[in-house]
Amino acid sequence: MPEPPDRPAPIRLAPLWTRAFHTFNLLVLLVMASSGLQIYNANPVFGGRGGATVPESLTLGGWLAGGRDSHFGFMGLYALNLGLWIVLLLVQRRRRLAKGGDLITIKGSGNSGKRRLASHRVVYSLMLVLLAFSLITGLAMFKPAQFWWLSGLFAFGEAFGVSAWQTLRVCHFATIPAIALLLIAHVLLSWRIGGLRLLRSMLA
Amino acid sequence: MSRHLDPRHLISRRRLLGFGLSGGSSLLLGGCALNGFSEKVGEASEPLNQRLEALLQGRGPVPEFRPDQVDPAALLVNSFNGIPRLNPASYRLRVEGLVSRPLQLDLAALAALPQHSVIMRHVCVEGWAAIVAWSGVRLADVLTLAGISPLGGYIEIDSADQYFESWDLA
Ligand code: HEM
Ligand code: HEM
Repeated sequence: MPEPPDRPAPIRLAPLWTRAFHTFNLLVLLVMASSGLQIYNANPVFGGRGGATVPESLTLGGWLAGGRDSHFGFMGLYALNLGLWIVLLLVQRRRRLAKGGDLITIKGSGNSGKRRLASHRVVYSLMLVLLAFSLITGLAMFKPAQFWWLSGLFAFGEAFGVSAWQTLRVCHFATIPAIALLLIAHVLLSWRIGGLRLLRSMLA
Repeated sequence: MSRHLDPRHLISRRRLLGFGLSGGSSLLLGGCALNGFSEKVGEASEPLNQRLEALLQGRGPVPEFRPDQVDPAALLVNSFNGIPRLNPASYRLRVEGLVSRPLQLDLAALAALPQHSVIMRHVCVEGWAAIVAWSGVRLADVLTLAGISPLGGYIEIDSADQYFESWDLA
């Protein structure tokens, strides 16, 4: 049977390594977030003992030590995956990442397609920055004696009566709501830009 | 040995861990099937993480803080079996095991040892932390007094509230 002439071109998949890092990051991030919320429940960042806890269905591990097992068990994989991905992106696919010009495009371009592409680059690049930040704040709480200089950077809140530790906890926890918002923007923009075909190019 | 082996710190840390255990065990019984998974993950990653930690260990003293940073309200008291009542007259710190001189130290003997104090952050596994002024004798001094054998790999600490904890001898 002859092929219909308007048959769409085959989907151009993103490189294998891109898809691998992208998918693996998502999976490990889910483990990190749910096991992190399990740790959160032992002593909520907001409210301390007696503060509101996260529903158990969102947590991983069953209890504090289980959460810590998973959080610290996967942090190495998470850091390795994220680090290698960012380095490879910078070396091999830098044009995919946001650059200063994107902001000008978003503000000034009359071409809505270009604006969307630029916004999307900014959104997913910010996600990488945010995830790297979660790693830094995590490290500062994991080894506060060894990385005292890192943990010490978070003492800026002391002027307002917030201890450095509490600032660290809030910053680390903030990864979850911040990445959730960016993730929504990322998925919506992907959908808007390339629909199912683009999603499949990355997730297939 | 570094300052963070202050015995008072030990007691408190142990208590904190104790809370984690006691609070957690109830969850464990009714907990979800993923418990086993987390435990496996912990077992699998522990050796590697311990190597990482060993690399980081002993790089300089722990950070100290200013007296005005001490925050008594932040220090939560976690106890395994309620706060034990100790009788100062009959209290003995027993040190035994791979030591050449097993000890039974009363409070006067402890007071006779060099006293140290340090202001440092106490970080609980539950996530909270408190800057505390600790004082007392060093664990290292007690162990030296007991003549600890170089063959000993770890110490086990049994507390008055029936919690126990073990520490590697780095
Ligand atoms: C926190 C999780 C995520 C992060 C950090 C992230 C990050 C990224 C990054 C950095 C890129 C650019 C990669 C490159 O071009 O080399 C990208 C592309 C993409 N992502 Fe994600 N992503 C996440 C989750 C998701 C999810 C859940 C979906 C879909 C449901 C998704 C769909 C896509 C698609 C379709 C592209 C291709 C965009 C394009 O080529 O224009 N991502 N993502
Ligand atoms: C390599 C990366 C990471 C490291 C080293 C790390 C380390 C830590 C540590 C040490 C704690 C316990 C804090 C404490 O005991 O005081 C913690 C808690 C937590 N983590 Fe992470 N983490 C990492 C990544 C993440 C990511 C990616 C997320 C979320 C998406 C996350 C979410 C949480 C949450 C919600 C808590 C509980 C907060 C609290 O109770 O203070 N972590 N993390």
